[in-house]
Amino acid sequence: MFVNGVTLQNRGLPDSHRLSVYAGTGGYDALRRVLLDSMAPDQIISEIKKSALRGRGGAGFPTGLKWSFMPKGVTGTKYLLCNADEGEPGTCKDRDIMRYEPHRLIEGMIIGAYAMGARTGYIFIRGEFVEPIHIVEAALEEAYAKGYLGQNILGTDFSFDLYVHRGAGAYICGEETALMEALEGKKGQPRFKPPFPASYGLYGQPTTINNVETFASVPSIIAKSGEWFLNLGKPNNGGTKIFSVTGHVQRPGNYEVPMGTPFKELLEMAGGLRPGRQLKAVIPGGTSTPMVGGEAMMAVAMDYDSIAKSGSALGAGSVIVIDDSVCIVRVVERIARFYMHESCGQCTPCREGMGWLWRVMHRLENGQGREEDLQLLLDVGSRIEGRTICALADGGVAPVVSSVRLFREEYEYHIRHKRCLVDGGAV
Amino acid sequence: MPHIEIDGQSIEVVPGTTIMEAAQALGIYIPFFCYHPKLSVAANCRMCLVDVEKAPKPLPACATPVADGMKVATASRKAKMAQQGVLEFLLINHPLDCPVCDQGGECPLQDITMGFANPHSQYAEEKRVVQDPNIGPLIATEMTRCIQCTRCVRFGQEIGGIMELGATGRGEHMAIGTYVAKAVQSELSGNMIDLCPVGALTSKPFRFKARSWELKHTPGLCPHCSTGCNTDVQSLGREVLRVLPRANQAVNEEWICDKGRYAYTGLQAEDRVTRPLLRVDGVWREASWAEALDVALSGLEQVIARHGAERLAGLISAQSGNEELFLFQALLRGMGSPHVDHRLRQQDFRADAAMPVYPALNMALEDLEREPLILLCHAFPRQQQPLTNHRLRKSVLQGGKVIAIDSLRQDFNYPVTQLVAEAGADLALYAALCSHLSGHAGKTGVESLADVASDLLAADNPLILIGSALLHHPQAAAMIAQIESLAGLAGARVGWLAQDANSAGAWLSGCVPHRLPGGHRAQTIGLPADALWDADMRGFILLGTEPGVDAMRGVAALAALQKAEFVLSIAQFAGEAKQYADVILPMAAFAEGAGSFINNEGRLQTFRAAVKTPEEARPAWKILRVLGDGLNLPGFQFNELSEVTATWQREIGEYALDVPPFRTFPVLEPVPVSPHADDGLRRLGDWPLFRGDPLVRRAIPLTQPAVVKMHPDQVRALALQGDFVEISTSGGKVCLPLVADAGIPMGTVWVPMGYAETAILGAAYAACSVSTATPPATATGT
Repeated sequence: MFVNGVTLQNRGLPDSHRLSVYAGTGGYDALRRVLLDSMAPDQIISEIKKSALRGRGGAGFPTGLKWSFMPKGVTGTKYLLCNADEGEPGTCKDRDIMRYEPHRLIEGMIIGAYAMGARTGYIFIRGEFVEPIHIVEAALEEAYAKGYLGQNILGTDFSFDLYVHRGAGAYICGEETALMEALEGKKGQPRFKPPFPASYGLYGQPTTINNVETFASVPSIIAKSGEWFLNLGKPNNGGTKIFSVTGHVQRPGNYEVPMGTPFKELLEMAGGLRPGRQLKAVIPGGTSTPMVGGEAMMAVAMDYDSIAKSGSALGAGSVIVIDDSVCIVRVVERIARFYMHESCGQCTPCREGMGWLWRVMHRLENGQGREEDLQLLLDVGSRIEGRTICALADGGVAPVVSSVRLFREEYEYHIRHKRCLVDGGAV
Repeated sequence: MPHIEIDGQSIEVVPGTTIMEAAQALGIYIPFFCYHPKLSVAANCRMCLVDVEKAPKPLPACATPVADGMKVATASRKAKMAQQGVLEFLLINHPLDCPVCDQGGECPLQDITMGFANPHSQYAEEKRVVQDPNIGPLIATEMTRCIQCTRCVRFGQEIGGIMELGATGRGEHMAIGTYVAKAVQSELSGNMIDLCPVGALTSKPFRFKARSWELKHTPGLCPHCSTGCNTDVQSLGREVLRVLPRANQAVNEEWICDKGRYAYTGLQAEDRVTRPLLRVDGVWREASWAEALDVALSGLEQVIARHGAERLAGLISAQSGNEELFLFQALLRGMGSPHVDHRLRQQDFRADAAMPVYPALNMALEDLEREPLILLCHAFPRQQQPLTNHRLRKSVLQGGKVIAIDSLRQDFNYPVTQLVAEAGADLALYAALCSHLSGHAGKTGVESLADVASDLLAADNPLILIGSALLHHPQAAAMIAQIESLAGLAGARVGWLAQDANSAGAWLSGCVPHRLPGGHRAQTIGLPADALWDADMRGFILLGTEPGVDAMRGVAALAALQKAEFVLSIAQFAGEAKQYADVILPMAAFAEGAGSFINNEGRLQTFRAAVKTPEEARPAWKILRVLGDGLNLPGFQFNELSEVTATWQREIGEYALDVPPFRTFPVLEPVPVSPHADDGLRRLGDWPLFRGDPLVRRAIPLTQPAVVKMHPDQVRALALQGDFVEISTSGGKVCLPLVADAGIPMGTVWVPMGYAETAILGAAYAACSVSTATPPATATGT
């Protein structure tokens, strides 16, 4: 299988974060081809479209199409942003790209900036990522020194400046418009859309924002063609994808595999479950995606469309494996607390509803549940879902509602016995 | 144009219209909290979710633009479920303390809950409690009631122009506050109370005074500046309890400033006069109207008999209605005195003959928003006319430019190019700008002056606005003449930002010594206000004014009044009048009388009495009528106010009559500003926002102590130590707290007018000296 072949291809090399190592493996050749062979911006965008590369941050929006939304011939600066706020519980793939392959990200952004006519870019990195921040900043310095960034890149009349911005620790700033608000120095909270960033983005200017992994896929696509990338995966689900496999596996970690790889194989790659344990549930795309029962998951292939068919979402590819040693109520109580804590607070249903959900979950977990609580969780969830500006609330509702549906007997056990089905002990 | 259907009704609207606007046009009500037509759309309360055909989720009506063929249901099951869901969320953490909440009865949350909520909540957890920040004397906070709609935050950013309130914290800990504890300073802050859809922000002075449904509403007019904001005066029995804005998009839109909102609290001042007062052998006692009028009339007659009517003068506040202004000058002139004036703050009257019929904006307030270039000449409308200033702010936000020339750098709430005169060089600055405009300035000219000149020349017919502070300058006439040439060179229009609510009416009604009602030239020209103090006057009639703090030379005014044989003060408040008057006749104060004002645009607006006058106080027009009658003067036989109004309107005719056109200007010799004291300091000063008239000076919630402001470098240069300084002029000295302010030019010291303690210093722009002092602040005469 083609493993770790695109965005993490240099991960095994010593000093893979250095420009010299990256250049030694063909790094910045794609940029050279684009600029020196005068590849037209439209040609780049059509190559990306051919590759069927979809946004790796979670929403899975076709990247080529997004790039084509950037208006042409506008006055003022157009911005290119990289969302490196990787905050979804369970994901750690962007961190590894930035640690091991920062130049791949930078090269992808420069090519993107050229394709869309952006003059300035920002990489918005999660504040806790101290090591990646230092590595990316050092890589930027190297790229500037080599003339890949700044004025007249490689002697052409294309100029692009790229900066690192350090986030201040809010999950919501991973939402693209909240990220822009934060970058502008305001309270990080999502904007109502429309207008979309392509017409009204950072500082009100046309802006495109992509995930780290998305940008890091670009140099290989340009170097080896969109078709090559598409064929790595499946139609409409091109390329490879990093899955951060965590939870009850023996070898947790980032695995970059072709789209459509069966979950079963991914689980094996991650060392499988601990001996004697049964697979209870999987959260396939990070905590904001619905849970899938263990048995059902074993039949799912890891690509956008297949996971969607199973009732969940590929999200950011953060696969959380849950075995039978764990109480689902406790897991969901913890997740519900996270979403209550991370709600930005602007929309009424999310601000008030996330706390409500958690308080009920908290009672259930602590043996104070009532018979009517399960219906209450579903009711409150239905009053939150789809009624807010951004998707955080939907993401907070998903684990609660999906777990009540999948593991109702476990919840009922909690209510009836005032203790956990799994631990066997009193709570 | 998109054609859409809402609840089965069709409408065609312009592209970009939101569902909310289209529904309002159809008369369909969609509930909302965070939406406000004057603020940006936040779409955060989610109350206005409606059901749009083909949309998978309910959409917020306030933020969703219509699309052709869109079908919207505002009351379908899907919409209702969404609305009920949002209301339930809003109420779970709301205290539901309506019985003790001032917002009760006028609360959107209460009303919408009654109209749209599911009466059964499933919430059984604990409620949130939020600490209340103290944000000053005007706004009471009860933040547990807050529903985080952010209207107040957006008001500060978008209308007030300073962001004082913001949302801190995330999720259910999101709270509205000032972040660093402080009082809210915006002169428009009270509007946040009106905007708050719950009882989180309420009026502190009104707190627990009444339930909203008990209040009587009377349409009123704000008497505190020339904008002429429309108000809704709310009273209970004989007491005015609240003043709120009354929407008039052409004047104040739907806002009023804090001065207009809270000045009514001054009505409760201890020195309010409610019965006629007589001074007998130096002791004040109450008297009947009959007795007081007898004493008043004989006092006036004696002055005339002994010294002649030219030794009698009358000063009236330009907060008076047209009818009162008209009767006041008729009384003085009827008695034979030409000395009638309302301009107590002015020093230089040499331009009188060339002044326009009244200080007019010469355009509609609304049109100010569309001016591409405005030059403010010694005008700081943010303090003098806050809601006229709001129009200027809007012009700047729409890409217009405002340039200001002044004696100090002012704290505008929008970007303004400011040219600040060096100490005493105000006239020279206008002259320098003129030379730049005519191309006579050499390369040595100040660069910013050259930029301003080229901006003015590049603009098509820019607008020059002359502020009231310019009229207070000792070289006002020369400055006006200079502005005239400036306007000619730049091809600009000139307008005036008048000072008082009825400055226009005062001029038009003949309350100036050189003009009769209607602007007709007076046969005998009397002395202007400032000249009266040195003119050996023997009798005075004052109406609604306190020259000790209202006049530019307050101490000189007090001396002249004390020296006079007879002073009749028709007043709302006795405080100052007791120092010099012989008779005080109690007159109706704000909201107690009816009348009319002419605002800065020339708009005639009327107001009615909201409450009865207290005890024996009477509307001023009735007092003047009785005085005129008692003196057997013709033209005082009125029974109703409407008769006075009709006569006044006949007399003022068609405004501009035989006065010279504004542009023919006498050639003026500039008066040198008084020479520098040894250390070369000059005192700047004007009447701050809340010190301009007797009522607002008595409004306790608006009280701000007098402070001295100096440039921090000046403070260092003079080696001033400590928090207090002593300011001395030829008039006297006063000790006040010192505040460093980089907006004050070197060589100048800013000391406010309008305070009894600073009156001793005399006129603004005079030489002064400053030294370190120790508190407490006390004033001593020389």
